[in-house]
Amino acid sequence: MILSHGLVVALAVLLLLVLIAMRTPIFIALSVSGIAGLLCLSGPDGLKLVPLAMGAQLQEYALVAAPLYILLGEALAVTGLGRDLFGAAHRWFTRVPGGLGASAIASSTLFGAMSGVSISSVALIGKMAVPEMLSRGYRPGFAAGSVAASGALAMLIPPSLMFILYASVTGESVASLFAGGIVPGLLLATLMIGYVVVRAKLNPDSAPRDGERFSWRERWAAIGKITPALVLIVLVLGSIYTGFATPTEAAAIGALLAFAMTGLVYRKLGWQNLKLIFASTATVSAAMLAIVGSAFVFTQMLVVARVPESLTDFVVGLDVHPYVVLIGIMLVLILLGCLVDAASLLLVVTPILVPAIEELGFDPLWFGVLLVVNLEMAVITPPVGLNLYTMKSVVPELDLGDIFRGIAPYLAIEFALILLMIAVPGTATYLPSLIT
Amino acid sequence: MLDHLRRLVLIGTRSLAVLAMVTTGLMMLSISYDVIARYAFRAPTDWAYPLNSSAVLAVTVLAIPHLYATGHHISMDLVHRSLPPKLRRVADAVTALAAALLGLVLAVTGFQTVLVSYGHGLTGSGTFSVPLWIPDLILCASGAFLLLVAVLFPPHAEPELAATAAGADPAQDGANA
Amino acid sequence: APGAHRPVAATYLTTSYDDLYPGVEMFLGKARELGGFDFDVFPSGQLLGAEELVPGMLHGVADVVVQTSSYVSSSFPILGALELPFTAHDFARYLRACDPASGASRLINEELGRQNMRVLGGMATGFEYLWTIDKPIRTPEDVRGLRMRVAGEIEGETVKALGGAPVFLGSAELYQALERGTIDGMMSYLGTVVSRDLQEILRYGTAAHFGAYTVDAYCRSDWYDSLPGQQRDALDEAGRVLFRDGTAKLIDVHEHEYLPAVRKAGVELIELDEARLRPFQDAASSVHQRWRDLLGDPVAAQRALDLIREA
Ligand code: NA
Ligand code: NA
Repeated sequence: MILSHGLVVALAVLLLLVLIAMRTPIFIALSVSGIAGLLCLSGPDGLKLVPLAMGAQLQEYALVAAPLYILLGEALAVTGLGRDLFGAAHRWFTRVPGGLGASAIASSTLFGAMSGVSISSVALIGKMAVPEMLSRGYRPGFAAGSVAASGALAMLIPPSLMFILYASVTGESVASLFAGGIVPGLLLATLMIGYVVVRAKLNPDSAPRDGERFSWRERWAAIGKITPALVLIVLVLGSIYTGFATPTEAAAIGALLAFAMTGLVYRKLGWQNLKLIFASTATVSAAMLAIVGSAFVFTQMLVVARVPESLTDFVVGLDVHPYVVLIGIMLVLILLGCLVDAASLLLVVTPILVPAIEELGFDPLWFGVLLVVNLEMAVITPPVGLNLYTMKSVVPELDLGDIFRGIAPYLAIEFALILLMIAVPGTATYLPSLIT
Repeated sequence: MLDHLRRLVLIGTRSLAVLAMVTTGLMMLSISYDVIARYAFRAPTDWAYPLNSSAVLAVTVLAIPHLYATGHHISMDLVHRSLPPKLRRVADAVTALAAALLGLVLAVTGFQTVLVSYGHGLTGSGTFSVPLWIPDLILCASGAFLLLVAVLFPPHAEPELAATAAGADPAQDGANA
Repeated sequence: APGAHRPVAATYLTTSYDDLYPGVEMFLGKARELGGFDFDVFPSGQLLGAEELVPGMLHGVADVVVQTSSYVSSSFPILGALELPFTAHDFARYLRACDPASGASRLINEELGRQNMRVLGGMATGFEYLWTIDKPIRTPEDVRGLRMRVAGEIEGETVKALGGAPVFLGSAELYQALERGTIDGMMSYLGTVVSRDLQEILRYGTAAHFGAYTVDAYCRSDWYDSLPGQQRDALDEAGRVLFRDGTAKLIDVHEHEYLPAVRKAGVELIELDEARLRPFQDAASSVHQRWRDLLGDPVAAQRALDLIREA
């Protein structure tokens, strides 16, 4: 061993960032920097860990739920659900300042309860909401910000892929984590809508009001259109919390029901749509899960280099209050969130941080929820913010600079939520405590 | 000749990807069946759990080479986009090299794993046990295909071919709704 | 491999297992003391998770692993001999069979050697209980139709033989699954209950020889054979310490901490007399046949069972 552990880890992290910057697919960047690190730490024999690590992580039973929730979302998406959700929210928020922005956030919140991934949400809602807002004279940043930021609610409001990943690494219960995300998710949605309304009231230029009116009949008709999907959410989440099914089983049955609904209620289940549903499910799941397997190669390299112990020793040895350490960790996570995508960030830091967090006396369930609120920021912070680029790819006429400016206020809101959750842990732990 | 080879490889990767899609459907059906068996017959299966654990690996790993060949993996192009063309080509070459390296490592170490698992008769630990050489072989095969596509499909070398081969774009959800 | 020249020891056990982890430390301590092994230790499944410990060891990623026998007895069926229900009549005899010096243990090592595996010694975790929520189990009929969580193949076959349905479930979901009736009970040793606070939900525990497993130290035979004699002796002695002192510590923790905790939580512990045991033994005899088939070597199977019964 020629290089010290610390130097190897530093070089591997550097290689990871360089590869990501070169547009190497993230799963390749993670595994190749893990491989390079293992080679330096233990020679060619160290590479035997690669298939073991990837195979082990991808066969964690908790992950079974991931492709199934994606399938559920995709099966509903072909019904035109995005348009219907936005249409319904628009009819109800039309008298509110910044009504379209508030509608976008509300429909993202609802879709977030049906989907586990934030990019689907941004793509689906953004495609409807942003052109609509632009055509009515909304400032581009204001329009894009509301969608890019609220799209991330899908990660916090159950079902959530991020909680499934956290459970697969830590062994925490998926059902408890799902329950933990509900209050912070709804709180965040409320804060976001509050911001849009206040901002539009104070600065009407950014979101001009239109005189459009809808009758109550139209409003209820719009609700009627999305009712089957709303019933499905209630069934899925209800079956988890009544104990009828585990989160994984609820995903499978929910997906099956979504197919039934798409075929029988909406009559949209032709051969073309069936192919589309399965092709996009395979694309989204495999792209996401490839990162899961590769992140584990990278973190196993960190384990071999003894990073988790070193970090725990360092953190525990610090002569400061645990809350100071916690705030420090949050700030580091925000910085890392600028550079790494959400799934990789969660998968890489969880095995390193959770031992230290437990040693400091914090609840790993609560920390999991806190971590996902951090990821809400990570997906909208440049330079690496997946929602921002999804937004750009869905509405190409947007300027990236406008999008960046538009999301800034949401970062402040999310940081405020983190502080609130640290001050009042019950925001994340009260609901889970009811189910166990 | 090269085009011919590319099409041939694409048929292979696409078949694996279709297998991944079918597997997703089977996961949905088998788990739903397991729930029904548990409530209706009080007889949950002992195969749903181990088979679906391995199915996640299959769903992921089988689709990886096709997603690479068709440019569907998650990557970040902010820096890349602002590079001068010459550096951009260097970056693309580095990506191709990294992909090939991962493919090679997975193929070789995956193969060694197959040998150990098969030789020792290793299986999972339930009353229905999946022999470990099967997931190991899936990893190994996926690695071999990744190596192939890394060599045959350098990033953006043949955008028109990649486009014809592409599956559904995740950003197109509900596009035809 | 990870430590380059240092031997690597790995286990999925975390230091929070008060009954099991002390034994692991005794084992490693003795091997260090007598053999000078400078182990690079990875506990808590950090390097290799429960499912990968033995595959990883066979690959050379780790040199010594501490693992529950039920996780690996599907791949190494001879280990099932000590897991079968109702082989020994009392715990003392079963314990003698677990001794690394016993005829049964030597036979197991002979068989394992063909697959390049060696068991150095193990802690006996006690006979497994059938734990339930709704009704106590006093006869095999009481098990009929129950969904029982199990962790290994022999346990699963035993539950099947008694008329129940074995359910495989991650231990993280165990508490909620029991609480909401996804499963009706579980088969496990005492430590699984206490480590997850399941005594808060479980109401009954039926104690009999429904099965057993050991927490063993394994290594590759070729690695063991390549060591100088003094280091081999050190590993053997460490294995005996794991069996003798590790098991003693475990029994002590169970008697003075775990059993009182389970009783205090109001779990009714049911003992079965000879007459009540008989129908369970008859029902479970098919598991023995199933295991003989899995092993595929009738002579070795009979020898192993005889050695356990005569231990
Ligand atoms: Na969600
Ligand atoms: Na970011």
